[in-house]
Parts: sequence; structure tokens; C-alpha cells
Amino acid sequence: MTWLFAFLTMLPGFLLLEASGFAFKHLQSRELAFFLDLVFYVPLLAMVSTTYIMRKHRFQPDIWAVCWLRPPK
Amino acid sequence: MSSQSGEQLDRTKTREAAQRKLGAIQTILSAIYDELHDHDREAGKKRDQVIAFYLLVLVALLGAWEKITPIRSIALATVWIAGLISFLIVIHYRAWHVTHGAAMVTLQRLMLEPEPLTLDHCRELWDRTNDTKLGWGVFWRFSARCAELRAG
Repeated sequence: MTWLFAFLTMLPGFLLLEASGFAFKHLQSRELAFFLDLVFYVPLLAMVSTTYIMRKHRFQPDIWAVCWLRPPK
Repeated sequence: MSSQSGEQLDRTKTREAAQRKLGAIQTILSAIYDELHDHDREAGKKRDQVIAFYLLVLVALLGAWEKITPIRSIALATVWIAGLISFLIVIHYRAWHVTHGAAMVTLQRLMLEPEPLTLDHCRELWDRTNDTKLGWGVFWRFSARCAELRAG
């Protein structure tokens, strides 16, 4: 889901690159712009978000469901 | 004779008090479990709504592609930013889903375990639920390193 959603946010970004003329001016082709988006933008977004999600697999003593078990100060 | 019956009475009272305490703890754990379940269900609904909203915006943009020629760049930039914000919200809800899931399983284990209710015991049960050594080793190491750095 993370990868799919990252790809979905890439689409308007890629179309913007294309519509603004950036893709043709600096990258010479739309295929190259699409490829760069696909290789850098999508994995970066997906991996950063996956790292954030995986951090939540670790024990979180501050969430309300368990923080009441803390010993009184 | 009367002292024996007195001891028995004390023992019965102590047992009843312990049972009442256990019952109260089970009720608290059960209430927290229900609350977690509700939170998780609501978060899931909101996450789906955000995804549906973004898909709708994307489809509307592509559907009106020819009509928005003069403002195409602005529309694309707006949709892109809306997509990134939606992505952040969805990831946030996903992270909470993970937290709720692990917390629910931990509470289930807590309800069954005779051990005393402590945060350390809770951590042990949580870690037993989430085997961080399974798959995605690089991510686990990276996130652990981030947590260490943050803790100083």
C-alpha cells in the first residue's frame, strides 16, 4: 500500500515536471523523467514511511493503553 | 476452635479481596481493549476516507485534463501537495494501526498471564508479539540506530 500510494503521489509530480517544461528542458525526455521519478522519488518516499511505521512496532511506553502501568513518581 | 475459624475467615477474606482485585484488573484491561478496538476501527475508516479523497482528486484532475490547460501547472502542484499531505496522514494512521494491533495483542496476553502488571512485563509481552528480527533487517537496524541517536 505504501509503494502504491507513493506512486500515486508521484503521478501529479511527474505531470507537473512535464507540463512545466522542466522534463524537456533539463532531462531531454519524458521517459527519463518518469524513470528518475520511479527510481528515486517512489522508493525514497516508501522507504522513509516504512521506516517510520516499523519504528511503531517497538514497545511504546508512552501510549495511553500502557502508560498507566508506570510506577508512581 | 474459635481461633481456627478466625484464621479461616481471614483467609477467605484475603482470597475474596484478591479475587475482587483480579476482577477489577480484568475489567480495566477489557475496557482498554474495547477502547483500542474502537480507536483502531475509527482510524481505519478515516484512513480509507483520505485514500478515497485523494483518488477522487486525482481522477477529477485527469478527467478535466483538457479543460484546465491555462491553470494546469497550478492544479498539478495543488494535487501533488494534496497527495503528499494525504500520504503523510495515511502513513500516520497506518503507524497507529500497528500500535493498536500490538497493544491489543499485548493486552490479550496480559489478561491471560498471572504475572503482576508492570511496564517491564508489558514490554516483554509486546516484544514477544513483535519479533523485530523477522525480515526487513536493514530497516530494523536503521530504526534502532535512529532511536539510539534520539535517546542520546
